[in-house]
Amino acid sequence: MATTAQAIASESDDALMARVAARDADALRLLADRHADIPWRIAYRMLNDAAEAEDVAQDALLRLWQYAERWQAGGPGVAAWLTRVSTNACLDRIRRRRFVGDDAVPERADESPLADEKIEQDDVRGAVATCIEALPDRQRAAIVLTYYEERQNRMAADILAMQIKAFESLLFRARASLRDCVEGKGVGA
Amino acid sequence: MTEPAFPPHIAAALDRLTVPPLPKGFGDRLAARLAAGDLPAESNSIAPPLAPTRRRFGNTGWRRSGRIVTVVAAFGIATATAAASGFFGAPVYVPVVSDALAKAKLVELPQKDFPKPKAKPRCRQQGNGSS
Repeated sequence: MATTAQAIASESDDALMARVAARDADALRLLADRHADIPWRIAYRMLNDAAEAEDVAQDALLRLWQYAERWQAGGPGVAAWLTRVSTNACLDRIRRRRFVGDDAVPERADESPLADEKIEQDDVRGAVATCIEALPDRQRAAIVLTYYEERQNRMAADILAMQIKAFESLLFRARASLRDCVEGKGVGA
Repeated sequence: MTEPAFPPHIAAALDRLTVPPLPKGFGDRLAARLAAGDLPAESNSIAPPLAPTRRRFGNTGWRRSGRIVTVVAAFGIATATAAASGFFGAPVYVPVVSDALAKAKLVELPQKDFPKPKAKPRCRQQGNGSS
């Protein structure tokens, strides 16, 4: 039994997707163990909300379950697929938030005693998070994908369904806005 | 060597935005949702998101003029068709519309009772020095 589990664990993503298409929940669990941190990271940075980020990550993996029968082996891979799906899910949520007027996510007050250094780190972190949250949705996605996820411009442009030149222009504006905002808050000085 | 995306002091600040590890029990909650059939609704998240919709009927001058021209042309065609089909009394011959209606056997082609323009007598140029 343990050898079977080890054999499954060593299978490629495409082989696991074939198992998922055959409705093997353990295979999805393994894919989640391997890749769930990708949609989690993207959603956490784009939405600045842990609960929503977990929802996005779970939805992305469940969409993988739904999409498994159409999966084509040898393509860009599960990681790229999850990056695309989670980025677009975040953009959907940001637009929905704006539509319902819930654009400001309340920050939770942390009442635990903290050392000065930790407080300062949290201040910087909070300022950066606020600056990223203040960017327009596509600019936010561009920064998260290229800076934090280290995706190439071409791939990020593809995820956002943009021409590469248009994406580079968007990224240029996003970087300038983010730099101005961070410097304006006095944390990058 | 490409230029770095941000100057070092900004990059240092951005790097503070770390992400905590996945919440404990993430995999179990995922499995529970799968077992319960709590799957996400179909949406366009797999496909790229649509760009924000453009205002098709904006108030730019060209669009407004285009609408006015379209309305006037449609009104003109409707009036001509009505006149040609005898809606206002006897059918009137309207060059293209009457021919089309007659071809479709909807109305008789009306008599073209307007007088044909007489050809003007051509002036001969005389005395140009040849005779």
